[in-house]
Amino acid sequence: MDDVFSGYHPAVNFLFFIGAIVLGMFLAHPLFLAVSMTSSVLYYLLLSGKGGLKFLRSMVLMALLLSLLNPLFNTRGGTVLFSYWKGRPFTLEALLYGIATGGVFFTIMLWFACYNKIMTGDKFLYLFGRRAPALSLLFSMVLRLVPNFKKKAAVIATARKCVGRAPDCGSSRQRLERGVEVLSVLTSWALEGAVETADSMKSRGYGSGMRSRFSIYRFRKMDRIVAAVMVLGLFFVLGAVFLGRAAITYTPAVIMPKLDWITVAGLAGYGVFLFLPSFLHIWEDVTWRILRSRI
Amino acid sequence: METTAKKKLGRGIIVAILVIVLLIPATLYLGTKLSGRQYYITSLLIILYTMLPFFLAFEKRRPQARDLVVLAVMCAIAVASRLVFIWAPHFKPMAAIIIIAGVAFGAEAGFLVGAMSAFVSQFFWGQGPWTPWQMFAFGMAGFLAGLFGRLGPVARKRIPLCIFGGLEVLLVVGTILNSSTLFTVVSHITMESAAAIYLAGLPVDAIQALATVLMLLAASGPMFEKLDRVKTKYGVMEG
Repeated sequence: MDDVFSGYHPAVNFLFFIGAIVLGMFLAHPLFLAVSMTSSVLYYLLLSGKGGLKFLRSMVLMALLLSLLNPLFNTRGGTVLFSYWKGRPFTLEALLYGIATGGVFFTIMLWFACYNKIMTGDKFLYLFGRRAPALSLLFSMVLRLVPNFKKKAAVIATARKCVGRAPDCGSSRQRLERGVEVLSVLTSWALEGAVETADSMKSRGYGSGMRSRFSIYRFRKMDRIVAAVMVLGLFFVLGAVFLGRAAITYTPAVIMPKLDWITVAGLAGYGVFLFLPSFLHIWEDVTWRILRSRI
Repeated sequence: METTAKKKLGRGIIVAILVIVLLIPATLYLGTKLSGRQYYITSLLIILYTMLPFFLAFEKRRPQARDLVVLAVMCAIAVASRLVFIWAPHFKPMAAIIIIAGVAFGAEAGFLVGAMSAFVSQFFWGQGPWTPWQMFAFGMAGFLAGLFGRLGPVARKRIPLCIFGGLEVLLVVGTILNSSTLFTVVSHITMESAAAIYLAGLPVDAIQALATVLMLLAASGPMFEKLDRVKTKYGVMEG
C-alpha cells in the first residue's frame, strides 16, 4: 500500500472515514451527493488502480437497480410518468428519490471499500484497545489465529489426502463428511494449543497487573495540519446542515432549500474534507515524479 | 459453579433491561424527529445499546487467560471454518460453530463468540454498513443457543439441536440481516417494500439454514466431545 493518507495517524484516518460515511449516509441533497460520489470514486480508484474497475462497475449496476426498483414501492409524488399494472403510478419524484437512494448506497459502499484498504486491524486496535483490554486482546488473538488455522487446516487436508480422504474430492456427502473431519481435527489441535498458550500467558504474568501497550504511531506535525483542515471542512458542512441548506424532501414533491452562499460554503467544506486524502495521494505522486525527473 | 454463572448472567440482564426500558424508547422517540435516514440510524443505535452490556460484562469480569484463549480459538475456528469448505461458495458453517460454542459454554460466551467472529470475518471479507448487524445477528445466535443449552442434555441431541439451529438461522439471523438490507437500500419503507426485501432474502436464508443443519448434524457430536473434554480436563469456561 503506497497511499500517503494511510501513513497518517490512525485517529486522522478514522476521523475521515467516520465523517465521510456518516455524512454520506445522511446527505441526499443532489449537490452534496455529487461531491461525495466523485470524491469516493476518485479515492477508490487511486487506492486500487485498474483492479478496482470491476467492483466499481458492479456498484454502478447495483445503484442503477436501486434507483429503478425504489419507485415501484413508493407511489407518492405528483408527476406521474406512466402507469402500469392496474394503474399503479410511477412518479418522477419517486424516481428522483430512488436515484438519490442509489447514490447514497453507491458512495457508502465505495467509502467502505476505501476504509477496508486503509483501516487495518492494528489501527482499529490502537484506537479502541485502551478502553477494553480484554476484548482487544481477544480481537487480536482471533486476528492472529485465523491465518494460523488456515495453514493448519491445509496441513490436515494434505494428510487426509494421503489416506484417500481428500476433503475436496468425492460426492457432496463425502466432501461434507471429510470437511467436518478436517474441522474436527483442527478443533482438537487448536484447543490443545490454546491451553498451552494460556499457561504460557499465565506464567508470564497475565492478569497480575496493568497491561502495557506498544504502538508505532506518533501524532506528527502533518497529522495536526491535516486534522485541522478536516475539522475546518467539517465545520462548514455541519454549519450548512444545521442551517437547513442540505435538507431535501423528494416525495410527495421535491422541495429544495434555496441556493445561497451558505450552501456554497457547505459544499466547499465538504469538498475540502472529502478530497483531502486524494489530494495528498496525487500531491505525493507529482512531487515524486518531479524529484525523480531531476535526477 | 452453576450458581455463580447464573449470578453473572443476572447482572448482565439487569443492565440490559435498564437499557431496553430507558434508552431504546428515547432513541425511538428521537428517531421520529429525524427525517431521511431515520430507520438506519435509529436501528443502528439500538443494536449498539443491546450489544454494549455484553461487552461491558466481559470486561468487568477480567477473564482468565484460559477462558480468553479458548474463546479466541472458538472465534477463529468459526471464521476459518468457511475456508475448509471453500469448494462450496454458499456453504458457511460459521453459524453452526457459534451455536455449538453457545450450547457448550453458555449464553454470554455464545454471544461473544458470535459477535467477535462476525466482526473479525469482516476484516477478511470486507466491512460495510452491515457490520454491526452481522455482529448483532450472530451474537444473538450464540446467545440464544446458550439459553437453549440450559435445557440440559436434550439440547445436545442431534435432532432438537438441528431443528433449533435451522429455525434460528432462518428466523433470527436471516430477519436481522434482511432488516439491515431494508434500512440500507430502500428509500421509503412500506409494507410492500419490506415484503419484497424479506422475500428476496428468503432463498439465501434457506441455504444458510440448510448449511447450518447439515453442519450441526455432522459436526455437533465430535465438537461437543472435544469442548467438554477441555472443560473437564483443564477447568476452562466454568465461571
